[in-house]
Amino acid sequence: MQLIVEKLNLRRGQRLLVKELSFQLEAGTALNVKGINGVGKTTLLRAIAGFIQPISGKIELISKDPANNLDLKEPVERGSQLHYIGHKNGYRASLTVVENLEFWRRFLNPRADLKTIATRFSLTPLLHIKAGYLSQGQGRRLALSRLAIAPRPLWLLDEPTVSLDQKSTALMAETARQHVQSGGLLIAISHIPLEINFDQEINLAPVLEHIPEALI
Amino acid sequence: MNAFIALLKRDILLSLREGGALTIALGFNLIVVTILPLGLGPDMNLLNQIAPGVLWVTLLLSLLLSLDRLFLTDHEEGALEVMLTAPLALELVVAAKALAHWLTIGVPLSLMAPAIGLLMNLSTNQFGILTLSALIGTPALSFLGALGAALTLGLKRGGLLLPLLILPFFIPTLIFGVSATTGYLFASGNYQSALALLAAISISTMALAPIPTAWALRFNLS
Repeated sequence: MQLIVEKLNLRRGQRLLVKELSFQLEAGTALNVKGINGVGKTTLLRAIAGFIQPISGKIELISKDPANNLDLKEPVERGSQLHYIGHKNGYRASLTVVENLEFWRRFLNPRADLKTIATRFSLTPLLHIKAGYLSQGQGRRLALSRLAIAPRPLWLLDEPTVSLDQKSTALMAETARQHVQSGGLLIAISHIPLEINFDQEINLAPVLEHIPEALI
Repeated sequence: MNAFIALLKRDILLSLREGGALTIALGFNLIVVTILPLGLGPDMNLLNQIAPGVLWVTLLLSLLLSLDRLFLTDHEEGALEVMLTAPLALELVVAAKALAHWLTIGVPLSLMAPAIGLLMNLSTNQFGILTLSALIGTPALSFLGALGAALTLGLKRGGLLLPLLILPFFIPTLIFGVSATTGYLFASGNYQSALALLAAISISTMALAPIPTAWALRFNLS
């Protein structure tokens, strides 16, 4: 797998957030997106996930595997190749933890082994609690367990360790390292240093321009 | 297909557990039908005549009440983002959610139609057509309602805009629903062809409405 981003322009409202951004991410590498608040890190991640249409530019996820020559150019096709863990955890508060996990298993990957995953993310004692009663950190762990439920090549993590304790932060870093080592792609935004060796870094700088007329 | 059924089951479970939507829809329906005869006076003949119209108008309004939450909680809790990256096409995600809405709101409302018949002075052998026509017509309402819910997602007063936006699209269902019921009750006109048209509206809505709904969802999430 390879992610190619070329001359990407992104907007939020009337503001140009990301201007002419190009980068390439190879299989088995990790990218750290940095920048001050409001500079467009989340917008970039959401655009790669396919939730936001760029005003121009190209985002392509390409399979280099000759046996499986996929060329996934459309966001719709990209969607099922990636995990997006954003600010919201994505579980339903009125379902129990095990009901949420069971839904994700059947919805995303029926072959997943929930028992192992629940143990790994220390969710076993919480299984029959309504997800709405989880603490912030426990909720985050439940959200991150999605990463293990369905194996997907590209992980997009927006502040994955927010409200996690030390032990869970280490577990998150370990999970991410394993993913990269096994040939996965990882893009993370994190203000606290994750214990991952990032191969690349992008420093987004504020764009002090309005959207060019030609692009509106 | 597994993913479709998983989502359908989850939404039915959520609807039963959160409960509010169904209780409000059924309660609203019953209350409108109960106070209507009080306002119109005790003219049994008149009540009998307007029964089909009352059935359908209250059905539309009660269904509308439950529509605004169709995507809202999933949006607020981030579950829609998971669905956007699912192996299931967003059109089918939408269809599963609308179908769950019909099963948990549309079907119970249709089954309550005999209560309307009772309050509107119909005889018991006329109750069947009320439920039958409601069961055939309400899928269109759930699927069109999903479109309205997707269009107004993320708007602050979306709950108020939704009825304005979507009620006009309910009119064909209303017309054929009423003409099927009237045709059967008063032996005026061919009720079977009206029922067939009602079914045609429902089936084509179920097939087509998820496409613009998915488009609206994508637009509102960006």
